[in-house]
Amino acid sequence: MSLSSELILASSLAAPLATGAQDQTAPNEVPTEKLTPSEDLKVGEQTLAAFGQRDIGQLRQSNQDNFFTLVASLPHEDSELGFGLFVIADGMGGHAGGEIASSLAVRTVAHHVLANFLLPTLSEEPTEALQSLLVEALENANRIILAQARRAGSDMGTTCTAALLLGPALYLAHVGDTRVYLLKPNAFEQLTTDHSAVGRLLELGQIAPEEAHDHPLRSQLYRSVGQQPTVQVDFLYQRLGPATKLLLCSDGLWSMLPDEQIYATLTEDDKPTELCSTLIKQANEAGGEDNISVIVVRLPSNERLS
Amino acid sequence: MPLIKRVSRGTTKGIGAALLRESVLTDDPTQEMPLPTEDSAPPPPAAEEIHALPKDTLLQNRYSIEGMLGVGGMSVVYTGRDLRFKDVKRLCAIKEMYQRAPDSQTRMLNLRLFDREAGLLATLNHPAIPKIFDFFEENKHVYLVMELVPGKDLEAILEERGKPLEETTVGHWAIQICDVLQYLHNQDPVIIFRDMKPSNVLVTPENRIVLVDFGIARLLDPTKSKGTMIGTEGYAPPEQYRGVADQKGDLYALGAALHHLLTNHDPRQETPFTFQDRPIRKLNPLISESMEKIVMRLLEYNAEDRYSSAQEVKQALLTVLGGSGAFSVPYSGSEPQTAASAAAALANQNRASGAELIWKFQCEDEIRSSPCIYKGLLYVGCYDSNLYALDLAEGKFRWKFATEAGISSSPAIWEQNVIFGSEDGAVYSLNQNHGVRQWTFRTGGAIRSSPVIQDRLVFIGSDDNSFYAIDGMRGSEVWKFTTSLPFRSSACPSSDTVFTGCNDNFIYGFDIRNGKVKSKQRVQQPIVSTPACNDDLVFVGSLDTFFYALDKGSGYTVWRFRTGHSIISSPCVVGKRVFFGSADGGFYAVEIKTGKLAWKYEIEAQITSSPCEDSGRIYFGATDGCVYCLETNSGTLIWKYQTGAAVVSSPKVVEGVVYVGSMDHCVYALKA
Repeated sequence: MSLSSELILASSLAAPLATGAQDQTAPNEVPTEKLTPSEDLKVGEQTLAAFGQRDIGQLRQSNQDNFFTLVASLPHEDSELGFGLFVIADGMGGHAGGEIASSLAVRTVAHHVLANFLLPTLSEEPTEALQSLLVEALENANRIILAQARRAGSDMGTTCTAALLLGPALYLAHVGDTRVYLLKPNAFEQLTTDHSAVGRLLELGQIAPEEAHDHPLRSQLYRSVGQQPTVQVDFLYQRLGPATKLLLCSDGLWSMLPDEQIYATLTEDDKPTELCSTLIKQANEAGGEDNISVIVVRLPSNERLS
Repeated sequence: MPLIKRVSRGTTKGIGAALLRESVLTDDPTQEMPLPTEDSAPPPPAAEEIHALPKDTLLQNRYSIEGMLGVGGMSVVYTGRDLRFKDVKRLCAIKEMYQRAPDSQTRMLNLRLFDREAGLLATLNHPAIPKIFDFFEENKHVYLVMELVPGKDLEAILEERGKPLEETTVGHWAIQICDVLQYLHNQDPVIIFRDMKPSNVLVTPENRIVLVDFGIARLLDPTKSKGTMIGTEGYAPPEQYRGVADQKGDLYALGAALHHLLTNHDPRQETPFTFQDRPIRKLNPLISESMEKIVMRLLEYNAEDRYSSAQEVKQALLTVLGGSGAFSVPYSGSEPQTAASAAAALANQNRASGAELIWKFQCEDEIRSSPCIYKGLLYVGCYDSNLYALDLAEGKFRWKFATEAGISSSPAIWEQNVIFGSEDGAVYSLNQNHGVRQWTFRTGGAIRSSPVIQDRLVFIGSDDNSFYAIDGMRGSEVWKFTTSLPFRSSACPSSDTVFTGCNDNFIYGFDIRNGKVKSKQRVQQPIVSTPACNDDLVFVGSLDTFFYALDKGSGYTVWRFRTGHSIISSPCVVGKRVFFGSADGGFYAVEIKTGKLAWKYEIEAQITSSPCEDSGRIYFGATDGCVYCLETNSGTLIWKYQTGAAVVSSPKVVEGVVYVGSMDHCVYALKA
């Protein structure tokens, strides 16, 4: 780990490795209200800001979710380019395996992207394609978790969804059923596809959404990080366009709240901190059956491009 | 190993395609139940969980345990010896119910399944179904004594081989599987195997197949539409997830198993129900079309689109395999597909003669420039230093304009003028009707880049290391950008940015209004290919062998695709794919979203010509002298036309005619 300490400090890693149910609120990236000029990527009215939060929920004994957020601004030709890295992971496996797996995934992915993209970019060295960068980041996590699992004789694994924001575009790498949603004016779009058989059946129209919601196999994944020697990683490139917010969350949020409600909540406020706690509160009120983690990113207005 | 963890009250988060070999679901979706699974991959099950019987353990005072044969999700199988036969060593397989589930409900279900397997097998009599000898309970465990079938399961055979198995071998196994499925489906009540997959099919040394693991086979009770959902993810049909298990489900799983064997692509590693996106011949071109058709029909998403019975599948297979003896072909058999692919190649060659010449026109030197067509005339530059204007319909000479050096730049039309560069260093604008010069713009080096015009601005690069924006009306410079090496790539303007490649290894994005660099991305070798854009991305190839997709806004590389040699050919975007040639002899269709190969057409010559698409067909030239016409969707050859020398010029298609130049000095008009 040769990352500069400044970077680590400026970022927020949700939880130190396997500290069990310690909580909950992580410091946010760019404070949303008391913006200092250096932290504020202000162009027009909307500024780039992100906040992440996780909660154990109402029923679980431990929190197996983990996340990472980082917001920065990079010099780019004559101007700046907004940079954001958001990683979320929902672990599984007994004997603290889930916590370990999701924490390893989040740390490995964040480290890989910072070491192979952010630092070289700052020193004006060439970087590889963002697709291979992100896919390799998850593949690394897969290898590291699998190795650790074998040593420990554990069956642990995790979902892992990483979103890299770079100027006008978003780059996603994804395995499992943690989700990324994009909030646009008058639209709420789920960018990721759940790697669960039930999700696939839903996609094919074989079962109805209500059936999917109650399907006993709904959280059974056909792809995960750390449980096979190789992992197939979904990569997605998405122009942000007029989108205003980005949401990353674990199934503890989306399985508790209908999309409509999440959408409605996200449109009510512009402060990522408030939105995170509201969403978590709502998921807990709806039952809180699983760990809940949420990252809300407020996107800068896109006009800066022209 | 238990891969599905049970949580106190919430949902189960289960894992893994390969890992989930057997899964159980009760009819009542509110009833939670951990899912028994089976797996051979590490980490292995803890020894204390299995409680393996030690060697020489005696069961029923009759069966002596010889060793462990395998561990399943619900059972352990031992080799045993029947001591009642004192003088001969009679071996058998002893299956022990293996209870790992912590809750009594699952244990009950498992026991019921085991009981059912015993009962089922006892009533069946088929060479592909193991015979059952005994069934008993001892020390709170349940045991099933069965025929010991020597051999290997198909999954092990495939793993050992490490590549797809031969069509005839697999075909003959499939016929035998159809036989036994038909036998099961003909029982009254009908028996559904429900877990057809390579690891449940054994092949004996005599190449006879035997189905194993009837643990989840189910009697079909037509009065009960929803059954317990069991099966193996990756092989199980979609309807099985709704609890529907019938004959057609077994046929789907058979299709999935055959797909696996013929392609060596494990369906448990893939997104469920995506076989239709992975046609067998894409993954293994050695497989015949008719075999592919059979398997893909078995894999139809809707049960009613599949074959109606195992019998029907068997008939279809026999037709493909020519009805040869089902038990005679060893699985190390030869590869008869070479003959088939040779025939296909010949057919392709015959089809190639479908190309049709409309006219050709001979210039005095090589044609590297690509034609430009406007109002009934064709314009093309020639290495004899002339720009030619030809009549489009008949290829008759109209006029020519002499420059002071060869022309490799391709002309463009703007406002009645034809504009092009010459290796004499000048950009010329001529009246398109008569070839009268309107203006000349001189640069400090040869021009090999081609002009691109947008909003009155002519963009062109020069070997003087500058990239120019010229006023199309007056021929005066609006702005230029100078670096340290020549610009031979042409421009790709896209709203407010113009993209181009440079020999200094950068792809630049200039502000159209003032030439300021808005983005640049460095690659490892010069870029002579001309970029193409869609709404979000810029595409370009480099001499470094990579093809790049860059984010238009920031210039960062979204993905890159490696070919075997330099990329000189300029890409063309059609729908969700981008097309380009490489000097490695490959013509590539790549998915824009993922950077993954959609298809590749290989020839034995460099492809430096840039593709042109029209009406579902894509055209390009190659240094073997041919002009190729492929189907855009599939990359299937429609025709090819042989010219007298390399074709580096890029084709243009207008109203059903392909126009292209060749190094044999001729311009060709071919029927598209």
